[in-house]
Amino acid sequence: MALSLEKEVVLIECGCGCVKPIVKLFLCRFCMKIRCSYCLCHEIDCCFCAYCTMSLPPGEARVKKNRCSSCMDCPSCFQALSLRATSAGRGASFEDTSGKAQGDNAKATKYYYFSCSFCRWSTRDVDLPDRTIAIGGWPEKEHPNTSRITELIDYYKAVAARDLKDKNKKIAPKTNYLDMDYYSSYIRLKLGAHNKDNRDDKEFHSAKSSREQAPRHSLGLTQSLARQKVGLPAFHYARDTGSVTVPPITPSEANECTEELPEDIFMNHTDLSKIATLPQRFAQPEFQPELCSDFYPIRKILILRKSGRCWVCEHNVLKPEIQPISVKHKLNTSCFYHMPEVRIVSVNPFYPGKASNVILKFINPFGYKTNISFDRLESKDEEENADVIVKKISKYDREETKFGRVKKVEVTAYSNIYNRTVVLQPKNSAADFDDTPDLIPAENDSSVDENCLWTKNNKTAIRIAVTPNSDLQPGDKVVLGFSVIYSFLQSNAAPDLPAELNLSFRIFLSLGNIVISEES
Amino acid sequence: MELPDVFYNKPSYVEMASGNKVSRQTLLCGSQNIVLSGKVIIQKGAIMRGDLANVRTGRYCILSENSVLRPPFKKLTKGVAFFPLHVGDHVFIGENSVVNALQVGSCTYIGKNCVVGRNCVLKDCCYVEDNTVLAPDTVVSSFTKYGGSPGKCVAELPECMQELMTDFTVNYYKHFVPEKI
Amino acid sequence: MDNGAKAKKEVSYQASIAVGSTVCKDIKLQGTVSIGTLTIIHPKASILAENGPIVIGDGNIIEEQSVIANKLPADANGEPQTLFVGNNNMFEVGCVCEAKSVGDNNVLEAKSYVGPEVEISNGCFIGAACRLTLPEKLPENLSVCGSNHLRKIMSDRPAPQTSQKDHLAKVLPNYHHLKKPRQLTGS
Repeated sequence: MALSLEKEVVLIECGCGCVKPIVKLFLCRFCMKIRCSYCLCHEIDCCFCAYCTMSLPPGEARVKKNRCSSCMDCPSCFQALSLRATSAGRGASFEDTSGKAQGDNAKATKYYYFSCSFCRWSTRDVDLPDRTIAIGGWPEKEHPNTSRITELIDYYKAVAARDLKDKNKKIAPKTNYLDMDYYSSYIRLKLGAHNKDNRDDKEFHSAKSSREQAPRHSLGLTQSLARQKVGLPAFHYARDTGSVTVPPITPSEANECTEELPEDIFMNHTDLSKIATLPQRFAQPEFQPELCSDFYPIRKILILRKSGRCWVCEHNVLKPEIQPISVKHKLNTSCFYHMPEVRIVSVNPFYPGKASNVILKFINPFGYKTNISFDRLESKDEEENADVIVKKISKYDREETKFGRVKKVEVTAYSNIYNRTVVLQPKNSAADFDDTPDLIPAENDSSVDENCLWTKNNKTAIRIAVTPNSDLQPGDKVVLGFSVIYSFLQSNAAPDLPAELNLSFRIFLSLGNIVISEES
Repeated sequence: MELPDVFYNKPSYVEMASGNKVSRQTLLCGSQNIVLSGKVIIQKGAIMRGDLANVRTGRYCILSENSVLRPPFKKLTKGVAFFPLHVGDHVFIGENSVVNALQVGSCTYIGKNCVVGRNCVLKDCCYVEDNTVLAPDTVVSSFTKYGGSPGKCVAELPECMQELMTDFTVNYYKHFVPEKI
Repeated sequence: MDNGAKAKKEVSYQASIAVGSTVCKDIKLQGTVSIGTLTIIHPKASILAENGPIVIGDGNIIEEQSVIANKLPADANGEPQTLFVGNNNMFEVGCVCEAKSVGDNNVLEAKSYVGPEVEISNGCFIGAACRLTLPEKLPENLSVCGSNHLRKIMSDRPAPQTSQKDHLAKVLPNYHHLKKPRQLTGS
């Protein structure tokens, strides 16, 4: 029995056209539209080490190459290395207790080494000396070409800075770039930064007032986002004086002759247990050890906690708490909390063209009564900003095709659910834990509905008849699609939005397959 | 999908006032050291080693058949010890899994046939896939899904994992009903 | 040994348990089993001498749900072969050992499986959930781990579990009924 997030049988369409399970969708409370991970701008909130939970701001983490300074991974199996302490230093026997006895008298010197408890690799395997300090300070392996690499990096940084400067000289403020300048200036104004821009104030304020109508929030635009939005790397106008000096480098020289293979390479017996595998080499890209004896502990890679922001209105939809170990969120507008959940309780076998009963359960996540009604999919009001999102996605997230973004779900069945209404009782979290017997028959409110099977707390089950299309073959998927309209109360609504809204979403239920019909 | 009912043989289960349902065919060694906080289901053949150290589970924990909950052994500078094992609320442990962890956080799912190595720490809201082997001393951070042998992070979990697991375990408990005779 | 006697033997067992061992009562024994001193057997372990006797040496730890079974075929003379398990081995939770022979200082981690045609030498480490089924003799200090059965020779053998054994020998009698040490009468 697996958790519901395993199976993707109930899918909801996002504003951009993807279909995803409800747990992976968010509701932007300012656009009042569904957003999926492609429609969100992901920002790094904090980086931390999963092992020691030391957290770093993203900038500092980048300086440290996004790796923890004290925790190590095994170069052989990539699991965490654990620190072992012995009283006997390297070379002495492991069980030698004489050192300990001495240590009791004169401040025991402990020797520490790393060892992997999964594959039993240890730093002693590769003749690394034991250390006397427990935490941190494990020396980083020096790369033979470090100075050359830093030299090249500095050079190309300078080249990039020079190119950017040249490019900025050429740019005249065209319409296309008004946005960009507006945003940058707007932020700088907000931050109280001194305006070094050559633009005259009048133009700036006119641009500002025209855009001011867009609702803004305290969690609104950040500098980095605004720059990201327009594809700009930095505040270029802040440093427009002085020329960039490019440090000289010595170019690499091509070598005529290549090294010969060792004579015995084809004669010697290869011992695979002493040769590193490809994943092991790639785990240390800067060294790529060929032999197991060249292994060196890998610094643990930091993991990150990210927040999400709507691409259209740039408000946060997801913001985790600052502590990396906390599982709570300051802000989490997951659809799971903001729209009624639909679950399939039971299905009967499907035959082409024949109606079968399906029991659906609706769960109200809100603390108030919600009316839900159903409509056909055809009545989709085209989202005006769907194109905007798709454009942005294609610009910023070209991965979409790689992840198999579902373009269209083919609906192969219809049902009698349309034009019905269901009233869901408010959610009472305490009632979930009580032991009242399940499945109380519905005390029908006003609309007596024989197909409303039962109501319990905020959950209601209804029976619907689903008729698969008559041209389906045995084994074909039965997919039912409809749109759900539900009432949504804004608790802290923006002043220009009504407190109660009717929201809708399009839902696709994979109910199962056509079974081999009785006649055949 | 809604969970189907799971039927159990009523005479072979002990139901406590706090709502715990414990199969008679389990091995709860050192029962004075085992704390079940309520509404815990322990199914046939499960083993809890309270004799080695304290084992404490939160509310709505589900131990499936033949799972083993075993306090981890740790070598210290002075002597040895078995460390108490804490399991949070709303935890599911699948069939034939061996849990040697130091801590299993709340709202955590451990699949079938897993081996959770010595002194692992599973934080709140994490997921261990079926047939995973977590190496000793692994730390599984929140909202990650681990799989494979040795266990690696294979995916992220949705941010509403807490509610999903709460819902799952509460529903499991509700659907864990005696056989109709 | 005729078939009738064999069938009878499968339900009964003859165990010789050395003084100084800690063997819980709640274990499954079958056939002729001999358990050496300082050996610790947790409850719910199984030692099944199906095809021949099993001799377990000193200082082993056999954890719950683990199975040590003699599945060896009869030798050339038709006599049942004995499975010898050496000293200071560790059989972790749920491992299944049907090996030809087991040396000293080996660790079989949780849920590992060793097939009947494998000979385990000394100081071997078989990782969690690893399965060794092909006929071979494991070299000394071999470590096998992971889903792709990464093999390597360790520089030193797995650390002895003496401290854990002492601790368990102290703790287990407080919670479990133990099997009394006894010598097997007859051969």
